[in-house]
Amino acid sequence: MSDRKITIEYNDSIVRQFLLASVIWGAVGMLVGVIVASQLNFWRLNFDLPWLTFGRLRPLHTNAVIFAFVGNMMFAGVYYSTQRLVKARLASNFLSLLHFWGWQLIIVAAAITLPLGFSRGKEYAELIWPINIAVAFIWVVFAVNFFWTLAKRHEPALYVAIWFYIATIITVAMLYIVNHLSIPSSLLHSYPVFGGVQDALVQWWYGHNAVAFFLTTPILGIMYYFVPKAAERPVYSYRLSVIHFWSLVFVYIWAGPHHLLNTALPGWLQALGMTFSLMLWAPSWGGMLNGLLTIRGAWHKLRTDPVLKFFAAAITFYGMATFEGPLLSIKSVNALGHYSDWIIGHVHAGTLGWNGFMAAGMIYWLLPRLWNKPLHSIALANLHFWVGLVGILLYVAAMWTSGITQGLMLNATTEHGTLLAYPNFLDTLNAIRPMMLFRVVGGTLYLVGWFLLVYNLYRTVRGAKAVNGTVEVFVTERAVSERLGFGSMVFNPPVMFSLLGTIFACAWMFGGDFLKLAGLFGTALCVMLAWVHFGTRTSRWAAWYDRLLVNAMPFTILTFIAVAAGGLIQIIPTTLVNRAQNVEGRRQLPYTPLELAGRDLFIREGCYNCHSQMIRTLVPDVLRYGDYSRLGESIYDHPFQWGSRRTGPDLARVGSKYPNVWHYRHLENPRDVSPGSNMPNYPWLIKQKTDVAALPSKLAVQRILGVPYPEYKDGELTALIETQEKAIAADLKASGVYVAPDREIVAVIAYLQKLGKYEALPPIKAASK
Amino acid sequence: MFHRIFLDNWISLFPLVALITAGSVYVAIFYRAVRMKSPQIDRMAGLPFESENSVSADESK
Repeated sequence: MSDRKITIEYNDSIVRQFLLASVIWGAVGMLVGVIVASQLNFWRLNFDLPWLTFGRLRPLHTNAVIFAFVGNMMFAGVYYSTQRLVKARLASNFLSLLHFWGWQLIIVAAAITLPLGFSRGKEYAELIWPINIAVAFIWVVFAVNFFWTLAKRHEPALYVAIWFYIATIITVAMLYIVNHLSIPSSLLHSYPVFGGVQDALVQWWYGHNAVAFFLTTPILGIMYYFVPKAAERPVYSYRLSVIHFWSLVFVYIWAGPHHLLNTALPGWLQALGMTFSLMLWAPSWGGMLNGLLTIRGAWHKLRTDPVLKFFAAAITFYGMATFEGPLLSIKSVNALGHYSDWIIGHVHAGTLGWNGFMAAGMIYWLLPRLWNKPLHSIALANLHFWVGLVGILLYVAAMWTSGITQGLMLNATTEHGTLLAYPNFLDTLNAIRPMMLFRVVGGTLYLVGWFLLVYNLYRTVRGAKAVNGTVEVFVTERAVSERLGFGSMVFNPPVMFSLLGTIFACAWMFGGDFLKLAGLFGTALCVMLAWVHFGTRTSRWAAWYDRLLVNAMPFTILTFIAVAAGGLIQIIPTTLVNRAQNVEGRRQLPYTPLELAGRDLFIREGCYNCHSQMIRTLVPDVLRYGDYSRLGESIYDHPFQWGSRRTGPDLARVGSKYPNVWHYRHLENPRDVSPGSNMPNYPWLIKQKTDVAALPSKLAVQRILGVPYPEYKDGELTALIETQEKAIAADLKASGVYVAPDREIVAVIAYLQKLGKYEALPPIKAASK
Repeated sequence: MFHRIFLDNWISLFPLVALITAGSVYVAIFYRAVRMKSPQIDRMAGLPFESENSVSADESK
């Protein structure tokens, strides 16, 4: 075995590109955030323009800050630290560039399509199917580039930051692909394959874990690399980081159902989501303490060093947000906080505090190193910190106050719980207006801070020469004993005992009489044998684990199994069982073709951003909106529209509650019928014609998805649509409103009037007797 | 039985089983982490601190 010394030059130009993109898109995303926050206070800022309304801009804000700002920041951090941790240049310059430009093109495509109303109607998953394919492709490019780099590494050990990156890459791929499974009806439109509760579960499995594996795990990897570098001392406890990683990746994925507490979701799934959310306290706080204690002995530097200041505050916000998350997952707390601004405050403590400040700290640390020039102004960076911090505190405090105030008002009852204390929803909205204004102030301050960073970056980079890092390494052959092939990975005691135990446990849970008994004995035997084997052959178990830690691919496969387990257990039963024929109690009546067209317009305008369609199993919800929602009442909804925030009231049973003319007036100018409303006007719905031509292909997709639409004969579909359109137009005319039957507003009214319509069904057991 | 999985009570056993499984994983990892040897820990924790030089990007390969 001959060692030779070589010099490696890191590909830092791609790091610079991602870093600059993150700064620019961060400014854009935050600016849109301030605009949408202002629209909630001043409805005129919607300008009566379709592409500037809150419902279309809010998805632009969320997608921009998550995928454009944090995404680019994450790629910069991952590429910079990975090269240094594994002592290898990125595997392919071409793939790196393809990754960068592909991602930017996706962002541009999103920035064009979202304001135009092309949306899948699912939060943080709004992008249309061609863009979804592009995202999946570019993510694969990222994965290939990353794992290829690991394959070429000169450092056999994998530092914990690399573990977090691996978990991010495989989990995001899994979540994104499953939640975006759709059947296209045209080049720009598709319906998700999941519907109703199934779609709700998949969406929040994705939505929750987008926070976990896009906004948290990669940033934790970045924390474990950059905080020790900035503090110039190793991580406080490497042991704790190992526990942090495994417990986080195993537990996080199960917690999605906490977004659906007190809804029609089965109780066992709600209990599962709540339990695992509470369990997240331990690993999250373990990681937070590990990060903060890494700065031990360097606290004095915080007075002068903006990088450490940003990191310390970011980790503190991580601790705060991860304390608040499990707290909000307790069912009784969730009954108050859900659908309110408390959730918005919680999310922004995480994004502005944890993500935004980690990004700022990393950028200020990288700038002098990537351009070989001191930061233009330390004072300006410190000012950025204080302005941003005040901004966050104003923002989250306002949202906490707003959320708790509105939640208490909405849930308040009198007369021994038989009457609502505040029956008019708008009273609760107008009570929180001052807090909504404080949010704008807080958000603006944070944006000002970001512009200080932009200026500081510009002055630092201007006239500076970009530099790439280099390192000298010895090229050595890896010892054969360190390698772990597929066979050795699978056929070893820990994996085999786990596999057998799982099979027996499944037989115990789901099997018939004999299988159940066999499963019970098998599980018990497996646990006992594993215990005995571990006691007598401890070294074999330890050796397998140690080899796993220096073999990227087996490590990746086992990490994938760890993250996939939670999702599979939650989603597979709903996928198999949530069928129309299995529904008991109430089954939704399918929409007519015109109502379906209206529903697509409802989604196009992003109404789900403010209106839920889920009456929770809570007395105040039932008193305010009607009988609580049942599982079968959204069975044909592709996508589901249960919502996550009630800036306006729930719509699950709004059908037939008001006359057609009320809806017309309300969509034309909400304040005509609801004084004090902050909803935008929708004048274009009166001018534009319903896209009836698209309906045949949409109905064909709905049929594939199991919605019982008949095959319409020639002219039958058109006649059906026209009959319903004319009936609504005639009813409006009778109320003094003249509108052509083929206008979009007629379709939207048709849809709204259908909400809450169902057929009653007997229990399946009773029916089969 | 399976088609009523949403409605039956026996399935409430699921969260308990999941909790025990997750707890077992946590205990196992905790045990492994605590048993890691100090030299191995020190080496891993020191990985971010390898020294490096820099070269102008204009002259890069």
